[in-house]
Amino acid sequence: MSVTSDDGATLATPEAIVIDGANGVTNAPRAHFPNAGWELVVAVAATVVAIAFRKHRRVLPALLVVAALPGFLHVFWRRADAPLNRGALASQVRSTMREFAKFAPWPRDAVRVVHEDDDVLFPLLRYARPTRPSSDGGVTLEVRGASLRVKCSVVARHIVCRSGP
Amino acid sequence: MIALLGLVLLHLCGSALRVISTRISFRQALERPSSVWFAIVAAYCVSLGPWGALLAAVLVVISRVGLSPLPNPLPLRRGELIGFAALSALVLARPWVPTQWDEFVWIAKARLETLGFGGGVRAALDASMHVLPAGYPPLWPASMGWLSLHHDDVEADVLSGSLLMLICVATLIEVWREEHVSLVGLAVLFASPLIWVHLRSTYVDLPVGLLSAALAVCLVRGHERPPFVAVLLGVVLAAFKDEGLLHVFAATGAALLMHGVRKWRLSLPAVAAVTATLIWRGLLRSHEVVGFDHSVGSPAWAEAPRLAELLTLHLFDLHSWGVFWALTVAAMVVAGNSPMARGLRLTLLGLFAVTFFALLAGPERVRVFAENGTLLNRLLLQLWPTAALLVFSALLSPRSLDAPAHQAAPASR
Repeated sequence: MSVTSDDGATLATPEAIVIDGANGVTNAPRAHFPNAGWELVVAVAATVVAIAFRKHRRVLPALLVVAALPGFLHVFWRRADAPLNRGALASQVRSTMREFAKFAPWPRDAVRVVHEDDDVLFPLLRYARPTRPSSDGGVTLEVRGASLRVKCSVVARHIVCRSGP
Repeated sequence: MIALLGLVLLHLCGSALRVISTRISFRQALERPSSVWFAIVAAYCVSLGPWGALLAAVLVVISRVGLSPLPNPLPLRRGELIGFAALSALVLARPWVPTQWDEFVWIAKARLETLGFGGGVRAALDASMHVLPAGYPPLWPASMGWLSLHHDDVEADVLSGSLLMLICVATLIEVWREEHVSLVGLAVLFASPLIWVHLRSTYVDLPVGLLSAALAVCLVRGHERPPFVAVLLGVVLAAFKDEGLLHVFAATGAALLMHGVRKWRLSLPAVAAVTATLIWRGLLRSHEVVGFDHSVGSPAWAEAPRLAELLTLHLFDLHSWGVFWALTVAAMVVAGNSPMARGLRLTLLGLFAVTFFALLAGPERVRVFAENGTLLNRLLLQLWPTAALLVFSALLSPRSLDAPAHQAAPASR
């Protein structure tokens, strides 16, 4: 049974939120549940307590709330989309969306996406170009990188958008 | 804020359609959040073109076969109003910007409605447009586009998604309210941290779960004749996401087991959902659009043990769920004699069965997603509302465990 540090499990960056923010409160599902052993013990104990104390209605709400506290700490404090961090996250997303909209406005301009990394920028570009007609002529677009805050440039009817390394 | 105007318009149109189709008063229709679904289903039928007329005809026929009225809503207590207002504030008080992978994808599809009414359906049926993911039912993003009144604005679309989420919550409250509600009990149900992540997003999984639970409640309480709104919920579930059809089957199966297979009207929501699915699948086939995510093949039985292990690991992920699913197990064991708790237990067992089978019989990439940790928690979100009502009914309700659910006086549909 391993008990890892909670810090490594936190979805602390905007990129982690884009990729895994909806899949779990931490990155435990992606990391194959490093704390599965003791979590299973907690679950079995909670089931037994719930059945044994089912007539004591104050015990069960307390059990639910106490067990949820570690997760709430992430949701409301530690994650990059926690209330205090959400403004900064939204600002980074908006900045990237503005850059795509400026260089490849949809549906006005015909733009052919010739390369996109299957990473954090993939869904943002999907929003920027929701349809990709096969017959699209016009300029070409390539998007590379694995982080937000994209900058685009145009060279000879070819748009290149890159984020950090 | 244009989405709020869109919601008001849809609610007015839906209320008018409800008056026509179920003969209740306009005021009664206005008082019911679920009236919005009348407008959304009507708009969906129109967006499907001639085949939508077939779906509409099926719904008209079903509305005439003597469905039961839905009781008038009980007057809202002040605490309940404050509770829903607080929930709404928490859901809406955030920057209206997508931040998670599928949010961008859903809102990208909502954006297609800016090309004109039905733009989402037309693009989804045009393989050369390369809309991703291909073949998915189009109603969830289209509804967001309709609430935004076809305005090309990401904030309007995100707000639309959040308002639809709240309509789903309100619909569940509307059909559930005949049970004795303890606010403390309801509040602790939300002690599942992942729920708060999704309440503040525009993913469709939680809305599917909320409407699935609402349908289950309608059918468990329906005895012989479900209300017409249950039929519409069947259509909405099937048109929101392919898994929605499985939810309709699970709820229908549980209701027939509880009330007897001779109560054939209980299967009318499933008839409507199957019709909606067949029409959409037929349109995809006739337009040569391949939906590879949700095709069904031979079950991969050899992978069943690993999938069961993964599902268990997700269920007991303390950070995402606390001990909610552990208490669900306890609630299944001690469901007691309350008809509602027994009905919800049957429905939940059915939901787990169909979800597990869908994982086994789905394409290989679905099981890869499960292994990568990007799928199972979202499927569990679809089951959470039914499980939450079961936990409430069996463990947290102020009413005695063994008391049968009382019958409220029927008054409207």
